[in-house]
Amino acid sequence: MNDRQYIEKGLYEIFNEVNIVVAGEDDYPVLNKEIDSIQLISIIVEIEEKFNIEIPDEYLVADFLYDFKHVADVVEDILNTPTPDE
Amino acid sequence: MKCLIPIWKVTLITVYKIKKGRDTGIMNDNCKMLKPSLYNMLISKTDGMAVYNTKTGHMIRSFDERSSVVEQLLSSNNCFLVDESNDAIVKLHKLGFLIDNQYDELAEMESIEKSATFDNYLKLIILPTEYCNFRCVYCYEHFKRGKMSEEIQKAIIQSVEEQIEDYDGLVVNWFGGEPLEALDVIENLSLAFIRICKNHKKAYNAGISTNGYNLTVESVRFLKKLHVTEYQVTLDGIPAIHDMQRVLKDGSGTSERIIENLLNIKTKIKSSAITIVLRTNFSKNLMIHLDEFEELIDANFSDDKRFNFFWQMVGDYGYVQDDTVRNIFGTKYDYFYLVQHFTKRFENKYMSQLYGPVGSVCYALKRNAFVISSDGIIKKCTCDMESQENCFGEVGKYFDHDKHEIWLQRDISTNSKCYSCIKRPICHNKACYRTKDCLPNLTYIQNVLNLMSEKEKYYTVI
Repeated sequence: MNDRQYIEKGLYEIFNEVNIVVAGEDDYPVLNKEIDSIQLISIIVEIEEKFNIEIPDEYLVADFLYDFKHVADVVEDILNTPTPDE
Repeated sequence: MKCLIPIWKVTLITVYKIKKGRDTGIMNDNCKMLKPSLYNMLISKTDGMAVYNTKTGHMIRSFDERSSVVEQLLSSNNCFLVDESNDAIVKLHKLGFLIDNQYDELAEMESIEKSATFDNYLKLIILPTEYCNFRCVYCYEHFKRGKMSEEIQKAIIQSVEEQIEDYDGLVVNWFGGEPLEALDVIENLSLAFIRICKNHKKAYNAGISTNGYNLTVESVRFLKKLHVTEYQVTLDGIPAIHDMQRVLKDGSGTSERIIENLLNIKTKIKSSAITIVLRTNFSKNLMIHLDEFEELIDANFSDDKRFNFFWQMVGDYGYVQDDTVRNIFGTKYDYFYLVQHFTKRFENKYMSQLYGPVGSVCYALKRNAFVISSDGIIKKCTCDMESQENCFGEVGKYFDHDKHEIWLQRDISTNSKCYSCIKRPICHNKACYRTKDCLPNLTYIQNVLNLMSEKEKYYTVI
């Protein structure tokens, strides 16, 4: 499993844990229902913990979680960005 | 420690839809006749006008000659036909400023108030300990009960397990005493709540009201793993004032360490999941040092969007234990002065939620919100902890549903000033169980909305 597959699998699991099903076209799946602020924060915390990252504010556009591919891109981007200590 | 203010103390976490949409008389395709919503608050601007709808939380701006068209549409007492070619009408309808002619908003208000639910999350304010390392001069707590026992923790976990399926999720606020004095209780309960919510596919999130003295970077990292994301920390102004009011048990000051902790968190934790509300309990002492306090905030915290500010007057809401404290209480005129001269401090994400739909409804008057004290007694209000009126049961043992129902019902009669109040969707006459008067914060809502209408992020242009 490559990094991208690992990220997407992890994200699917996190969304599933709050009963949000990812659906849509294979290339650009989107979330199938509205989410509220509690679910949003809950998901972000889980993403941060699962991938051991912190998602800075600049990534959180209004519809951040409505585009699954975008979320995966953000996680991948942060994981590939060297921390100041590296 | 808790100050003498009964509203908005611990309701850090509010639930709102990321994409709004429910049956509020908006966008019913079968209805082609429209009328203005009862809850449109018009604000005159030099370059046009702004309108805020207290039921939906939407704000619109219109400029120059377009304003008169919008004003006419919204001030009309007559209903009119939907005109799909009229962009203004379509937008006003979509955002809830115009609603279906047949829709009864007063009935909607009545229904909401009767159910007293507002959202479908189980909300628990849990006091893991009622011990506190502070002795704030204005505190109303008695510190009678210590750390929560394992037996009570188990009863809470079992109760959540039994109830969670009825809700969309669980929201916890850790309160006290000082909750960080019982971090092991927070950890134990949090891990159980996270497990239960995952098993039932429910969302879980938590906040904490802490004095900030032991809120280190390490503790925030630890708490975030436990889904604690919203932190309310009290900073009572410039250090000299804070250290007069919020002291350790030995009387020593606390500001230096709290500010250092907050700055470390700001610098070392970059997660956008974290929100910090810096609460300031304004006393008479601080009123002559406002500019200095603004400089302190601006120099340290204003550049980080995760920091929000909540300014409130210290006042007597019936819980005072020491009469000498009354000397530092502010008045409603002091509060008005704050809003007039420091309006920008009242305009932020946290405050805009408080002025939004249901934003001023106290948790104590919500059906789905409960306080669990460290001895397992179920209460509604965190201010009136020793009153029998505020005791509804004991976790895992009994719950007095009849008493709870009476507590929730605060009918608004047709001859009440609340009945036709334009701010009814914000507070529903449920801002505080002790009073039926309009709270100062809502008295000055126009000032805050006026400032919000200057910022594009808050409005849609019509």
